[in-house]
Amino acid sequence: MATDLETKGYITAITERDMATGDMVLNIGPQHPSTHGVLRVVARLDGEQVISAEPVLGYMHRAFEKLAEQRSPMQNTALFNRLDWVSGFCNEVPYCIACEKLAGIEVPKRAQVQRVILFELTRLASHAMFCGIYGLELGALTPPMYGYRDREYALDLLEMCTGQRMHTNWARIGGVKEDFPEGFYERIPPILEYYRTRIEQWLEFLIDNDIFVKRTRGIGVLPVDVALDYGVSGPNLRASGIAVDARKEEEYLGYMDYEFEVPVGNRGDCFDRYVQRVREMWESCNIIEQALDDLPPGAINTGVGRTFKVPAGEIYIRADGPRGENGYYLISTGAKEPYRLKIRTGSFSNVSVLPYLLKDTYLPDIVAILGSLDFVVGDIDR
Amino acid sequence: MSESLLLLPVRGVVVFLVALLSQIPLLYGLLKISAHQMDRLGPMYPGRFHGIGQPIAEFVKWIQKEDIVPRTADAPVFRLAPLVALLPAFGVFAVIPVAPGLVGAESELALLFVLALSAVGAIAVVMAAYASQSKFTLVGGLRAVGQIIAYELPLVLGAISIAMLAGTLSLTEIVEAQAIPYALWPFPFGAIAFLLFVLSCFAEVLWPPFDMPVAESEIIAGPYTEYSGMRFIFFYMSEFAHVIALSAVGTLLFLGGWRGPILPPVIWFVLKVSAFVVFFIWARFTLPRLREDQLQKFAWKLLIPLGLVNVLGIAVFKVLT
Amino acid sequence: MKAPNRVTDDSAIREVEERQRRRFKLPAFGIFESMKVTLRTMLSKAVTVQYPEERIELPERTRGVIALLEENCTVCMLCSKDCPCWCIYIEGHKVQKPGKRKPVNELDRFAIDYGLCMYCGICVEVCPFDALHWSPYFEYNSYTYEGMIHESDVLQEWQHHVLPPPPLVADADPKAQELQQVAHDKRLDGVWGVIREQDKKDAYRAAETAAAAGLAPPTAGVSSDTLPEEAPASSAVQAPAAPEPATAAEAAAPQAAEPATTPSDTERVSTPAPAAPAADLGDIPRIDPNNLPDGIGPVERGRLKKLAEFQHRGEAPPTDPVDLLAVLKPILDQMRG
Repeated sequence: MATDLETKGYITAITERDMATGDMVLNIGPQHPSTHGVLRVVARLDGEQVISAEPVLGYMHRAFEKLAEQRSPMQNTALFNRLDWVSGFCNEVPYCIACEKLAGIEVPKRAQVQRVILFELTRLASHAMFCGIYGLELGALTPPMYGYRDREYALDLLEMCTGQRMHTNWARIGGVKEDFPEGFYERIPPILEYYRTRIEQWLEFLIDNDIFVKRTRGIGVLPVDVALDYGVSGPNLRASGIAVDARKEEEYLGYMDYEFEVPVGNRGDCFDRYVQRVREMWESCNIIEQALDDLPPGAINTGVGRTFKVPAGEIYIRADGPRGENGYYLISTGAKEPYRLKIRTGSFSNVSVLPYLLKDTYLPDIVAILGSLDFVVGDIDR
Repeated sequence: MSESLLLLPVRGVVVFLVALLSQIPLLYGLLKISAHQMDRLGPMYPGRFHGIGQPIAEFVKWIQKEDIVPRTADAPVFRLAPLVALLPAFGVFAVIPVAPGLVGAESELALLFVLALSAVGAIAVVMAAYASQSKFTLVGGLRAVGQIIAYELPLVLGAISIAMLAGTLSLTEIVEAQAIPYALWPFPFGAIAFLLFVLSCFAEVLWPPFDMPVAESEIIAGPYTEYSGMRFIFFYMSEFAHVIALSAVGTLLFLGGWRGPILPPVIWFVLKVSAFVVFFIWARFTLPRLREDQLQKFAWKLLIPLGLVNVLGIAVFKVLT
Repeated sequence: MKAPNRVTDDSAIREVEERQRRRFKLPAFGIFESMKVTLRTMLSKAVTVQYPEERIELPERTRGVIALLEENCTVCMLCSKDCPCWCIYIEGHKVQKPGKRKPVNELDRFAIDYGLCMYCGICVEVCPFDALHWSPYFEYNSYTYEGMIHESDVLQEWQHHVLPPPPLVADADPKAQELQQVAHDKRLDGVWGVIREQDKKDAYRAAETAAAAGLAPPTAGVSSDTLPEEAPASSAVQAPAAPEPATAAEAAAPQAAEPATTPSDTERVSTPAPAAPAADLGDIPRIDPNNLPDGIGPVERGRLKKLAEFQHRGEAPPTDPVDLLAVLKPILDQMRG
């Protein structure tokens, strides 16, 4: 008190003593409209300012890795759809690639291209939903409806090809299950056109909106080195300013044959993360178009049977999903079931950076930042 | 004298019914307009024809819900808060003239009465927030009271500008003084006052873009989180009543009230109020919400100085003309 | 960790920011942009499809409910074993059929618990006998958990909803396209066209009976056609033993005890083996499903069997989705004359 008097002056010191407030611990979640599932954030608040916040994970732990140890490859494919359920197909593919690489199976080109098309369609669906949902985090009630409506078009295509909208269970070891049905090619260009116009409209609707900019510019700035330290991946990392994309770095699914840019942000704030995903939707449209041109005739599966046993060995495969990088570390001992399958999901690492991001922000910013990381709790907790 | 005393309860009941029943088209309009904004249809089944019975269905649904008072809540205050929110909102309807001579209670201080009653809502929110004894409600309540107090001033400044221009606080006379609606002339004073009034309306009823206190994505329902059933609906009814009342006051002050060619005054009034309300609903569902400190800065650093300058400008204008 | 040197290309964001900088000359105009977008949506038609009055036409591959073709099920338990949710309940028992060396599986109970089913499709995919089929029907719901367990009679009812699989794109693998086309044509009539295991077994038995009784064996086309490519199917058919007409009658008894099979099956089995067709029914020749003329493709065979079924019941053959008599006219003429 004496030092306060000296440094700050009598009136300031007295005022601060009288007006001092205590901290409040506020549990955001696990049941909450805004945490994308059952994520709990324990926030220490001083009024509206956040002193510290840390996420508590595990409310949705379903023991996927243990379950995978007792399931054959086809059953595992059906299971991994449920990891990041918003983009179901994107979780099946890396597992199939892992088994194929271990077994040395060459996947026919046509199957690769079909996988790319479905993968990017799923990415479009996921990002379209994100663009809408993020508006809801910030309080605009209309964008999520637009997001869901846009997502429907991609889901319709997925349903036409695979039979299911989200949990497609379509990738198989050696390719995909079946070829496209008649009429599939004709339906794609109008839908891509639609997505491209919708991207323009998102730019008008939210990105040009002053209030949106005010709420997201400069909020939750994630510098690149911090992001790399925490293992952030996917659009979050790219928005921080560095072009790390597993599609360009790993040679899988023939992505190196397609020309697409990896968009990059420059400030790493929530606004950049939002625009990043909008730009990635655009790039996904480009990829799908190129893939359609690239579709060679041929088989879509090398015909691996039901009793396929994955040869012994270990391998790590990573793929770039809409949430971040999906990695599957597969250790096999020659049986149908993996001996150990470690799933590295993008959302888990993305959420680990929350204590850093949420320091010294306001309570509403917590929600804005959580939303901009675009995680799915099933992906975090597996 | 005795005649007007006899009519008093009748007037009261009529005003109450108007306040209550005007919310039915408002609710229906809100549901339908917001739905079409979101590219969906809204209620279609209740009442057979495009969901016209939805407001009644909602009322019936809410009225039969369980009345929960949390154990640790301060029960008397908890129970009283919705009424404190509702009654002033309904009270404002008493002085709003719908057509010349068609008013609940003719008063020379109508504008003052309206502004005073709108401010009472702040107390209700704080009562609800503190009595609920919950952290979420506390945060919401504090935000709400800060916001309402901050935005009272632009509201008052906007209204005062018009009162100065018209030279009276009586709503009827303000309308009669508007040969050209005040929103258009004198420019820019009327327009600025209009802008201040509209923005403050959003903030007074806690609607987006100023709905930080009731931010559903963060604090669930803000100060109303612990309420259920009719008490919850009282708060929302007070909100809707406020919307209609403030829209009505806005048309009276800025859009010329019931003035207009050809159609009878009541029809013009209803049309103008509906236009106002539609604009509110449209903006409510489109815009994200401003953060609490941002909206406070917006009020204190932008709107209030602007309002004061506006008042000064009108004073100069009045002196010069 | 220091950021590695990678090519950073932020031209896209620059573009967006440039756009924004240009726009923000007047403050708050961005808000009007947003409101313009919602106004446009407000004034255009809503995209809602008002279920249940309006329905979206679902693609053929949509995974709704699974239909069971009980005749084809040989209780191999592959679907039950591979189901990740263990929601398929199969009970069967082995029955020693006279004249066979090994016992034969018989299905007692086949139920799918749709409360557990995750619609992965593994069961449909692994079934070697075409006993399970997807259908886009999804409006089966129940007020109880028990109601979500569909027993085999309910599962067989879903056969009506099974759609023919769609043909593949033009540049698919030709062999796959061919198979797809065959499957499509078969199922155009519903799952009738799918070859029924029972028919195969009956045909085989009939062939053995005829051979043992010293009669002329049925036309070669029967045996080669009723035992088609499905190799596992033939393993279910047992090694020949000494058949007699009495054997066929004894075989009929356990068949009759089988629950939920169509009565026509048992009666068909109990008809004596001889291949000569009986008297004409109207002007349609009597079709013996065990002894179809040779040289017909599998689709026509299925249709002939369907016609035989209706003949047996004494009903008029159906006209939708395919007018049976019309499409079979050339073959019937051939059989007649």
